Amino acid sequence: MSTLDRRRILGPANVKPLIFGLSSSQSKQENKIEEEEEEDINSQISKTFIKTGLITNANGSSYLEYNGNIISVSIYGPRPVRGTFTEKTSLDVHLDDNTETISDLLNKKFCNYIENNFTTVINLNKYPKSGISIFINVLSINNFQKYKYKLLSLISDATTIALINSGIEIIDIVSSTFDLNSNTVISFIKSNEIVGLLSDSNKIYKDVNDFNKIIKKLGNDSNIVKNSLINYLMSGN
Amino acid sequence: MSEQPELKLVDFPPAVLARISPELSLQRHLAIGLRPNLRTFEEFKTVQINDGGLSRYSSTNSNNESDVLGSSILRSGNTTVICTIRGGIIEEDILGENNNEDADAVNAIFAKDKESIINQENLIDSAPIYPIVEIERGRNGPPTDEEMNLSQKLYETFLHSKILSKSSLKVKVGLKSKNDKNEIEILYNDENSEFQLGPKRSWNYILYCKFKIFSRSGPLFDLIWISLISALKQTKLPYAYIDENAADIKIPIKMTGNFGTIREQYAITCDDEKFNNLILNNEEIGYSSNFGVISLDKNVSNNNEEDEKKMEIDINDENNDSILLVDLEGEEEEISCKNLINVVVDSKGENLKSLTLTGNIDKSSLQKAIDLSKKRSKFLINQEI
Repeated sequence: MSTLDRRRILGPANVKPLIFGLSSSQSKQENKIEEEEEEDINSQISKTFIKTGLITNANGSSYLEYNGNIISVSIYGPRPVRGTFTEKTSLDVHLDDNTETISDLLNKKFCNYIENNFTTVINLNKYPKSGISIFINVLSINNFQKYKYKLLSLISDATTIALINSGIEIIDIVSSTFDLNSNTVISFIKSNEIVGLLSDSNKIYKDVNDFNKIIKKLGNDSNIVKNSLINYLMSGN
Repeated sequence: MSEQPELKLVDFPPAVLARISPELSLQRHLAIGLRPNLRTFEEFKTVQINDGGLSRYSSTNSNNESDVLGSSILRSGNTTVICTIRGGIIEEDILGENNNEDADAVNAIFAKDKESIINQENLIDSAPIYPIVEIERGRNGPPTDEEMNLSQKLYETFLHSKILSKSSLKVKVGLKSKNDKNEIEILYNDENSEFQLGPKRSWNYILYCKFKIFSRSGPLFDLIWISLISALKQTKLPYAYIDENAADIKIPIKMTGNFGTIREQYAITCDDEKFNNLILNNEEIGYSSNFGVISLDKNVSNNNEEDEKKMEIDINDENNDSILLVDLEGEEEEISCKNLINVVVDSKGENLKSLTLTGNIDKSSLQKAIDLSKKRSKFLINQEI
């Protein structure tokens, strides 16, 4: 942050951020439990809390909480844009990290992922000369270094729900799932079509079959996620 | 077939009327003794608040790696305010006389005039907090006027209220060291009286607070003030220590005949388990209330008189054309009320911490506003939010 920012009150310039010492062994045990749980999609779903429509001055919004991650997504639009006539809606995604842990580069990466996901899914032709803005607020993050793509999959799910809440026409529900071992997030529609994929693994895949296995596993998980999202939406909350 | 052109009366639903003619909509409501948000004139909005579980010290937080020291989530109507408190460490300037034998000579030239010191004296013990306010409205870009005004007002009101004293932000620095058995241990001043670490320098915590506001529906200062106070009450300051290996390094240097030393910056690390509660000056803490004064449009009220004769209109008898509305909410009230009062009181309700008047306000309204805000503040203190 620039200290020359006169619009904000930033305080003295020579402040050092707080650095906390290494955490104790207790948290390592917890990590193990988390890893086991990462394999069990059903128990993850039962621990997830979703609520829609909390933000009244947005066109649609959702709030998602899972295991120390808190995300709020609000949708503004379709609203008129300035300039010349456009046949399609323009989509823009903004991610605001309240926890100050996501780097600018990753922020950009996350935004691009969500934007690419939903450009294919939103019926853009239906809203000419307008724009849709997706504002993602990350309020709390748990173990970002290890689970950064888990967070991305949660953001993607929250965005789907928010879009549905806003009444914007989409082709299908996007459900995203995450694989810890390969550090991969994949977003599916129509149970087997992939609309987004991001993988950041240190491992080198020996052949395509390895990756196929991951896709298959995540595909199954995503069906479960999708079903539970539908259940939530049908329950009328 | 001839059709007479006919002027039809158009009926608008209340929400549409409020949009196209906010003044008229408000006046019609006021004429029947109600407000558009269905509260009475002197009824405050309810406020719900909890710690939000965003802080690393919060019992409900599973995420203990966060660097948030205190947090609160407030809900009032549809509006949500999320407040997070973060910290930083700053090294205190050492006075010349403690460090330098030639201080007198230096002070003669560089020291501030005594007069300016006296002006600052009132604030010398009061510590500031650095706020950033973000109101979500679906736009990106630089902060809006409202956000900047709120930050500035919060900064000033907080500083001048003397809620936080500098002494409570002092970092008591411990030392991380190896003991006889070659185990690493951290020594703090308060546990071990024999242990006396005497660094000449001292450090202070600096507190930042960040507000995220969703679904804004009216003036926000009251709400962010409540959420700030609540978050500060939950705030914990970690113990901090210096690693022995990095402590007190002096490197002699020689440059063109001048001798000197470069002092290594102390790397201060915060203990991940031990903490102290942040001490606030509780008697200085009061809450804020806002009011709008609006004059009643007689034409509107006369029109309605026939239908609404039986309605009791709660208007001050002496001054029956101006009404005091508390806790403004909604577009109609915000657009129509140009005369505004904002009051922050202290804990006992005896002294005012801040008073802001905008527009044309008569004495009786002001008196009433101050009385009401004292009551309101007492109510909130008793609620212990």
